[in-house]
Amino acid sequence: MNDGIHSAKAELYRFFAEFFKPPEEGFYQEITSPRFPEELSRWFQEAGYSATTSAPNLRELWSSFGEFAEDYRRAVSGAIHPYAPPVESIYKPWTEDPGAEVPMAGQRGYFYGDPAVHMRHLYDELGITLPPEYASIPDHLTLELEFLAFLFEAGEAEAARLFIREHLDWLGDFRAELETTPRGGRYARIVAWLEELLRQETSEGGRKDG
Amino acid sequence: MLEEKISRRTFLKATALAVGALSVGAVGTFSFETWKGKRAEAERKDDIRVIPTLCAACSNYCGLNVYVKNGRVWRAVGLPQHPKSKGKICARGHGLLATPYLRQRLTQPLKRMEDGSFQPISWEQAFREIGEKLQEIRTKYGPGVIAHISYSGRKTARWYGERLLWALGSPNTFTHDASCNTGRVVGFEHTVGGTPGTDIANARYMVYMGRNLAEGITPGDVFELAKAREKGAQIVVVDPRGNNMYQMATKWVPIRPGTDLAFVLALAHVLIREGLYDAAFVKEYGYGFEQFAQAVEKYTPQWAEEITGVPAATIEEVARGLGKNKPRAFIHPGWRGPTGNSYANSVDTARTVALVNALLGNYQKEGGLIFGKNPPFGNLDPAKYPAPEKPALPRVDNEWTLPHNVVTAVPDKIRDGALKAIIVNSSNPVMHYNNPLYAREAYKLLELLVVVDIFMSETAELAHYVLPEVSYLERDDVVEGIGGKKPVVALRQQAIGKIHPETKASWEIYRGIAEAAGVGKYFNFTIDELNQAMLAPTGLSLNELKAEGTVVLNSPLLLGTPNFETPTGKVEFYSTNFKAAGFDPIPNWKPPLVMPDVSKGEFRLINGRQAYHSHTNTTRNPYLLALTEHYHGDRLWINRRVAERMGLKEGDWVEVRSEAATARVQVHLTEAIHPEAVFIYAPYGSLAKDAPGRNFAFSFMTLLPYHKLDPVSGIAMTQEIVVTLRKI
Ligand code: SF4
Repeated sequence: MNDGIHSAKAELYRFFAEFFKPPEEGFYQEITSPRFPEELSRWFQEAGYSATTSAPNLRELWSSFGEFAEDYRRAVSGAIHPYAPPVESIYKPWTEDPGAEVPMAGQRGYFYGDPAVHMRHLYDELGITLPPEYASIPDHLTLELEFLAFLFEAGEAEAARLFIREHLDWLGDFRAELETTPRGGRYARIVAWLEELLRQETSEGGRKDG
Repeated sequence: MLEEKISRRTFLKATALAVGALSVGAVGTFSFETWKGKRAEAERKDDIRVIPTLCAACSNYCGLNVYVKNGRVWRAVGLPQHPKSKGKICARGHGLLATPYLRQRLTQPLKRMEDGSFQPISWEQAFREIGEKLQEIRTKYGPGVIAHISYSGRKTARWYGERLLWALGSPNTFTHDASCNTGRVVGFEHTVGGTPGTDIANARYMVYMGRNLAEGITPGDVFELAKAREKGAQIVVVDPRGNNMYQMATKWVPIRPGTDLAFVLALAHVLIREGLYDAAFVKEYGYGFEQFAQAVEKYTPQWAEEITGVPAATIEEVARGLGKNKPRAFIHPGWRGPTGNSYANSVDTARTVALVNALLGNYQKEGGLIFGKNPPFGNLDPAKYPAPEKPALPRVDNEWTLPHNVVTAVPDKIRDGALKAIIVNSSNPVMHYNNPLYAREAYKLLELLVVVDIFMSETAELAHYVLPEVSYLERDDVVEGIGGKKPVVALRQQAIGKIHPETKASWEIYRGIAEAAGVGKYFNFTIDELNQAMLAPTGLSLNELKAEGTVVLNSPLLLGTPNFETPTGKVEFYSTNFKAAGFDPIPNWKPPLVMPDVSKGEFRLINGRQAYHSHTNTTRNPYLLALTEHYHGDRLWINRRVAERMGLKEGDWVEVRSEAATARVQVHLTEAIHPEAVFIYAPYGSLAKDAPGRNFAFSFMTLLPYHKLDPVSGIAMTQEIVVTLRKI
């Protein structure tokens, strides 16, 4: 029973992770296919989550793959500025290391902060490798969601919830940035949806995984 | 279905263990909070790496030891053996450590689309399209229409840029110098053969004319100045502004801006009239002294007082101070100020400064001006690495024969159709070299503009292709040489891993473009191979240099006998090159191009370097901009009495109007500025869309009328600006 719930959760978080990768048309076709909402709700059920009120209608949200890809390119990829980086370090103090004598210590808004160093530490300790292009952004949302999926798959539900509380607590700030970023509005809705799900996961009454 | 699609793109891979066997419990620091708490413990285990490299926040390129912990920059200290840093770094050097982590960095090659927007593209596509376009332009118009512009301090960009251009058949490489110190370079080169350094620590009497060591900082020079001061040296600051160096000075001589030439001509007059000059030195090393002496007979202190506003007695006092302390006395050659690029008479001011120093006989003497000894550098073996020939084509800026290149002429050369394609590296020509609005319209006419940068600069915004470079802490560069009493070699090397995977070092970018443009055979080496070849004659290996970062070569310069690399081999009081170029061989008085009419409420707008910024290089840095905010560093300085007469109070907003444009700014009231001038620090008022600098004051460059360029040196004469103020 728990295995089923955990692997459903893992798949759901991988589904969210997919939004923050360079877009592929296959994914877009999948999530906008007519039968997708039904599949998704089955997924939610299997994961033990109740229906989310903030779930957007993805078919209406992005009328074409081009639109989806353009939002990604403009709002989150970093290729075009301004953008909202889907990276934890940006929204947290760069380091709380009292010995660090650098101007960004304690400041927000910089890449490769303490969250990134800790994420890399976790990957190393747990024997997980990441693609070379993410070597210096190990706290990218897509990787953190995949890591969360790993935790559920490994049956580490408590650890997963701790991870959400400590490493996915920045999504509100990210969403706020998306809301003021050109072409970021639709991504903000995906993040709001993800936040709702994570809230279910971490609130006592909301989860059913034993 | 869903599962299949999504799992296919999983980025993270579990390696050592099967997924199901992830053992979180075994990781004592799984919790972020716990990990942070145990940091001190973890640190002891951590090996902190110390990597010697070079700062990049200004052209000093001070030696740094960068401490890297957990793969990140953790602290940096100056390298004691580096002659510029002497163990210390300045606020900018400290602030710049944030650069790799700034979110404004460019992360991917971009192509400008027809609607003006940028589209991210792959490096392969960028190289291919740039290479094809370069070949097409070369075939259509000939190679001479291709140019390269770089910051002159950036040796990697200069070296690779020149090789690429020569390979393509074009001689048109430009540096930023005409926006900086070309006036000084031209003045000194054609008078004494080059620009010497200063032996500050051993000097007894020093005159700094618009050269502000406290803000145009070289940490090593500031130490030397403090040492000299302790030993009782006299330090005279001649500047319309009581700049920060005043705190270390013994005297401030406020001068009417634009008239420094009259001041130095009068110094020469007094030194000769009173027999305070080194007659033996002049006899042995001078050429044309009699004509010069005759010319300066008319430049009496009384005459200069009229022009400069400096009392004749002060001029005499300074001349005597210099004369009595010679040869341990000098006038600093300057940098960008009155001798560099400010006025129509800057070049002649520089020549006269060089000559007054010759009257003091201080060349190659302790406490004087010293042509340093440079390290002997080698080059790649052409048998193995074919080298392109220097193109025989004339340069597009060849109407100027005295300077090496005139980047300020580029907008007009584009408008004339003489330039069609430009590659820009580590430089922002649209913003800094001419009036930016004038420059912008010109650069828009190019058929190909490629910009290599780490930020979306004003120039990058116009580019057809923007190529993102790694930051200075993420790359290796070409080995640097620093001349001095002992020659020094120094290396910038990669201290941390790349933050953004789709960024590249310049040397890789040039190789990519060259291969795509059909001239890849000239780039069949790595930067390590190049550096090894350059180092060979020094006897140092690249590994030795990498270990030390900065190495002082033990082959000291012998002081005493100067070698003047001029056509006559002498100090040219009468410049043969100026004569040949059709200019006055003797520096005579020449007024600045424009003069404010004080009775009409006009001021001269002057500008200068701020201690915590280096142009737009640093105005993306939140830490340094916080200093600007804290100190109100972007206010317009105005003389307190004048301001009060105008009804202005500290912090009031005014509109500043020149014939070119208007700007808005808050005023700073102070006694420390000449009543006929207003002053603004140089780095503010960016025009780039995403630059935080645009929220601060204005750029003096936007107010610069598009004067003709200086016919002698090509400088844009950036303090030839008359403005009026209106309270708003
Ligand atoms: S003077 Fe300051 S900014 Fe310039 S290179 Fe040295 S440390 Fe860096």
